[in-house]
Amino acid sequence: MVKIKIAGLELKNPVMSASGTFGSGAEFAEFFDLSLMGAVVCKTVTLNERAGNKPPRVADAPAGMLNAIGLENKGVEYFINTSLPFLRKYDTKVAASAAGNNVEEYVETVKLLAAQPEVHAVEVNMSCPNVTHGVNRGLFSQNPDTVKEIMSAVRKETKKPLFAKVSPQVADITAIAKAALDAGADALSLINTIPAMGVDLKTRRPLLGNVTGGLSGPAVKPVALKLVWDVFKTVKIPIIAMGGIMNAADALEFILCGATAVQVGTANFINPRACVEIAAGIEKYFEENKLQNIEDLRGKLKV
Amino acid sequence: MMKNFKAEIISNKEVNPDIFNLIFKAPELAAAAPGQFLEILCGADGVSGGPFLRRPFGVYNTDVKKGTAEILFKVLGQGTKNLSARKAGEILDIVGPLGSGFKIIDTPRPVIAGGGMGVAPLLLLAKILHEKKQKPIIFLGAKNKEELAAAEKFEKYGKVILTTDDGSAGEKCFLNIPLEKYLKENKNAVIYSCGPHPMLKCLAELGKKYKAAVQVSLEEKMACGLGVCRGCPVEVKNKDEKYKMVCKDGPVFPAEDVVW
Ligand SMILES: Cc1cc2nc3c(=O)[nH]c(=O)nc-3n(C[C@H](O)[C@H](O)[C@H](O)COP(=O)(O)O)c2cc1C
Ligand code: FES
Repeated sequence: MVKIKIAGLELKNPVMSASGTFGSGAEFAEFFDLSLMGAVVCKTVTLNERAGNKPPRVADAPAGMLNAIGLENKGVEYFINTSLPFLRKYDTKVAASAAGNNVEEYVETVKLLAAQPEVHAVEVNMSCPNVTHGVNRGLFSQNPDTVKEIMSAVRKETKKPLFAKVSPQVADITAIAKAALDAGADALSLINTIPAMGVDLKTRRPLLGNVTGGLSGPAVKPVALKLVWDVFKTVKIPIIAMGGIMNAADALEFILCGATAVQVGTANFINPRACVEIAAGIEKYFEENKLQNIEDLRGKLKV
Repeated sequence: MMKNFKAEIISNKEVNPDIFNLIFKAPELAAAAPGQFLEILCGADGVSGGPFLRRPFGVYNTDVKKGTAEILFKVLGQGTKNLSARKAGEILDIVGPLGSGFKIIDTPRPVIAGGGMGVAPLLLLAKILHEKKQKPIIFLGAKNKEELAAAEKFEKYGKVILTTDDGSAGEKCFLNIPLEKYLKENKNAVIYSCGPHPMLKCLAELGKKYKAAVQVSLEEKMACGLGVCRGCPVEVKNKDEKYKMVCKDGPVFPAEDVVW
């Protein structure tokens, strides 16, 4: 098994689900044994319930999809009482995902999540393109100072590993990564969806009810690879990479560019067994290439 | 229980212009309930050369003995275009059966109402009502005769009343006209329906007016089909939450729960 260590956690393999594409795992448990995953990253929750955006919330895009779910969730309490207990029976790691409208909500939500014994780590989602804030209606993670502010504040609440999940749409990803690291993040989850939209010429309407949303799937992979590579070269923060990973080869490319772990998102909708198949494919590649552990491949891109 | 499986195509016939009846091996769907649906990969390999996301299709028919199932679809976009080109012997990648289907009610007045391609999930329902010795009255409406692709198949299961927009088959009107006539004379009917949104909305109003229980099968753009992505909301009233998911909580809903 390609065991890895990241952010102080030992994972049986480098494959996690990407937040928002896997619920809390229950539906996918009908397709495979969740214990075969490195970690389950749950759908982002917020302090209070959010109804989400009006439909349509999803649409096709060339080699990918658009979404504007709007962080629909029943709130952190519901998640803790109703969704989390299900994951107890699986031998895998669990990362909860938190978002908020302001620093106080981030702190409150992370505090509640990190206090749960089932939660091994918290991913701090500062990059949902369907939730904006501030004067320029930007995403939290588009500003290094905001990243620092949120991550420092949540850092004070827990010793459990924290992943900072950030947006690809920034001028300098290394500044964001550095801010996260300085503020005490244990890993960087990269990338969230790319802000995007689609148009239906026939009806002259946007494809999404929210007009704009986020692009994910194979279309974003080259963008994500570059961002991972940029961070790997300059900032000493472990990287959890994602963006268009459909198979083991995609995942291995991210590891070559410097990722320690990967997350599988949109692929779950195309192949419900994507996570386990990718984990098995990575294992096979390591065996065939006589690689002992992740460090034999991580960042070994020949340039 | 839902599964992800490969299914060999037995036949894919164009039954009317642009309308296809695809039959495939699927013992996995033996227990599929009327109103449940399948998510089918319609791109070449799910990544290149086709729509990326799976497409939902209502289960049109099943043959438990032969271990086969059918869908009926109209070519509308790239996904259905690709599917229409698939041939016998080729393999489909299917997730299903998904969602919760029609709730079958023991009633002396079962009514089926299908508009356009909305007939697809209703044939299996008609068959099952027939097996239960209920005698459904079946209203089928479409733009024209060609689009009433499944009308004959329904005839074995109950009395069929046709309407078309152009009068090329049945009465020239929307199906709510003869349906309303029926409801006036038959109180406490149970209506199972699927079709375009305006039609379903109209049936919801008729249901209220004539005290008929209306079940509607809804459509919405989907990604996962499993209830995890929260991508397919329908706004509901008098519930704890603002939205329910068409893929998991539906696709069939009581008409009175839906915000029209
Ligand atoms: C339908 C959908 C919902 C998502 N919801 C969330 C979310 O709640 N929280 C989050 O951090 N990311 C969310 N994401 C982003 C994914 O976790 C991931 O970062 C992104 O989709 C890129 O990876 P992929 O190409 O493998 O999907 C969502 C993505 C999709 C497609
Ligand atoms: S399509 Fe994902 S929740 Fe319905």
